[in-house]
Amino acid sequence: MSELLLHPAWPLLIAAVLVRVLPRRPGQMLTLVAPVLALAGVLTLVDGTLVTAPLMTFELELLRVDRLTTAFGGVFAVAALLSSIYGLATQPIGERAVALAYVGAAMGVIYAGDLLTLFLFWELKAVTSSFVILSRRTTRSNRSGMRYLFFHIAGGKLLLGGLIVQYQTTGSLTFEAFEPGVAGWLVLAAFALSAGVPPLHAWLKDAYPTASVAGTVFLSAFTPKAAVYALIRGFPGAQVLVYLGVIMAIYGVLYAILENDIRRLLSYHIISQVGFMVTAVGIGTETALNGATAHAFSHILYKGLLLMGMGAVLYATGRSRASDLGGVLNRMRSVAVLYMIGAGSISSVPLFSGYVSKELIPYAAGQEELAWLVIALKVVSVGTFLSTGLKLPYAPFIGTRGMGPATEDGTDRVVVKPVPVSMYVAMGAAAALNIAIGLYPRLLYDLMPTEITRAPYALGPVVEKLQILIMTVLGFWLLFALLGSKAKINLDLDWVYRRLPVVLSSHRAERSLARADAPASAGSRAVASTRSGARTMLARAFEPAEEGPPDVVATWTLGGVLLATAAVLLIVSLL
Amino acid sequence: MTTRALPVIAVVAVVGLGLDLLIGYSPVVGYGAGIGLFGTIILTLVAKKAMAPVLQRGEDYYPADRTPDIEHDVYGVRTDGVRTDGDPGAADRTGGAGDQDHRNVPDPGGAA
Repeated sequence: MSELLLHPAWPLLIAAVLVRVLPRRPGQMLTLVAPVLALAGVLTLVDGTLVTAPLMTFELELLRVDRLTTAFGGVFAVAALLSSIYGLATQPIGERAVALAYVGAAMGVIYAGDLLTLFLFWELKAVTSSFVILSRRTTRSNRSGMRYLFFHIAGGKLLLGGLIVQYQTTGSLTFEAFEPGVAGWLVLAAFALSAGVPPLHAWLKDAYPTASVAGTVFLSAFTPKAAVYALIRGFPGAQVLVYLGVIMAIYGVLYAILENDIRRLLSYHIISQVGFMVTAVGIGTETALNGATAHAFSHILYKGLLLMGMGAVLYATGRSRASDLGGVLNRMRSVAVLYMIGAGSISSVPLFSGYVSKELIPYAAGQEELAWLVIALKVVSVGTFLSTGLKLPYAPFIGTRGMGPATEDGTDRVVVKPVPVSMYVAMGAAAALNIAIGLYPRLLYDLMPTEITRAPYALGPVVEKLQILIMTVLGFWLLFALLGSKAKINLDLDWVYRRLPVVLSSHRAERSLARADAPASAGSRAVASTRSGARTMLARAFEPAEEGPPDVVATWTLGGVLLATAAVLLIVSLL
Repeated sequence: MTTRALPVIAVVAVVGLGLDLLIGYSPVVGYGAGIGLFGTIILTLVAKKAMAPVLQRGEDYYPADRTPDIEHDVYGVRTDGVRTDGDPGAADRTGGAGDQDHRNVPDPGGAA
């Protein structure tokens, strides 16, 4: 039981409370110390540790440790430290506190040995991550944060439903691989939503780019990766995940090619890269599960670095549209270099972390003789390099206006403000880790659940990868004019709940009003009037006036959450 | 990207294909090169020619969620309206930016 004191969630959750009450400087120190203590806990806990506690008729497994939990717990602690350093100069106290609580909740998910403990931390993670988005306190972040909350609370209810059905069916709440059945499907849907599997993905690209620069870095590390962990634990070898993962990977990369918002583009790449991991879970072999774990590990490090880099651009220029940027390279050389290390990693360039992790997944697919899957994943990798390694750094740093002036002399349209030292420190540390893993793959491979024997730097794979990369550069050159960023937004499936109700309501109301103009009974006029009122309410809810009452959508969203909750509980009770 | 890069690309591509021929790792010679070039073309054409005309809209399509031209709040804005303008030192001196807790910042330049 004493091992429970070493639970890595404790220092983060306690620090989240203390940061709110301590003076500023000690609070900042604590923000850095808590992840270090969490990492110490991760490293101290011994493989095989299990701490249980009785609750009514249940035997909860509050802490379960194995190699999988250690790999995810370790990288979560490191990501929390880097994100905290990055946010030192910009994060308000409130955001800092909820971010720490969010990481603590994610740690709780990783170390939960039973479904009830998992559910409690899952819900805490959903709520605290919503507050990370809401902490920016702009109209945009408020609205997308509420939509995010709606999705994740609904996902939590699916998990709760699966938990209850599982208990009724098996009499056990232990979190292990699910058997096919109602419980499995409900839990799989909950995990898929959290991982961002289409069509349940729109919350991710909607909410992540609206958080603060540091908030987005925090968000990128934990929610989808906790879902990947849960999928590895609960659904290894579920074949449906192979197809869902490939769809994710292609979907994300195609939208990324279209995207103009620098942080939304990277958000689409989270969907795409998590697609690799989901595919690997679906393949289900030891190599594939190692690949999913290794790629989640390195993805947390390089995606954090990429979002830190683009966050620094946003911080320095105040601009997040690629089409509005360009001409800042000479004034942001260090940021560009650090960003490119992340870009090299995500693009699987040899000697960077992504190469030693991502390539395990097509390798595992090849071992299972899934040639179509190998080709699909390699083509997606091409798209990743195209948009994050070529298009994204080119548009904001160079663009149509070249490298720009070397100093801030006031002649350029884009003003570049100084980036805090703490941001550089965090980016530098993340870049160093990505290079270290790229140079010494054993640093990563030795942390994986089972032994990895593949030699990533054999001549054949390296030559093939270099061919892919160099021909992608040629393709970029050939299609350069077509790949330019346009000042447009791209409709995604969030259209269904952001716009469709208004469109439907408008059509109905217009038809009703047209009928009401004709001589008609008092009854039909009343119907038309009611529909007109409904249209006005929907319009207010989904598109509030500039100076209108704040966030009517919040009321609708919370109402929706309550309704969804009631519906799920009703269905579960009927089952 | 300038045309000066083309000779470099050509040399690397030829060396890569030569090595590929020698090593015999790929299922067919130029397998990686083909995936790189045709993958780029296919993905770009699908995104830009098939998806963009259907999915792209003006930036005011969701007026309340329009991204402002300049997102001033990332620099830190105090409740009294004093901007710290990205100067972390200013944040420390005023107790603003990094630590004030009650911002409610409208999106400057945004629709709502």
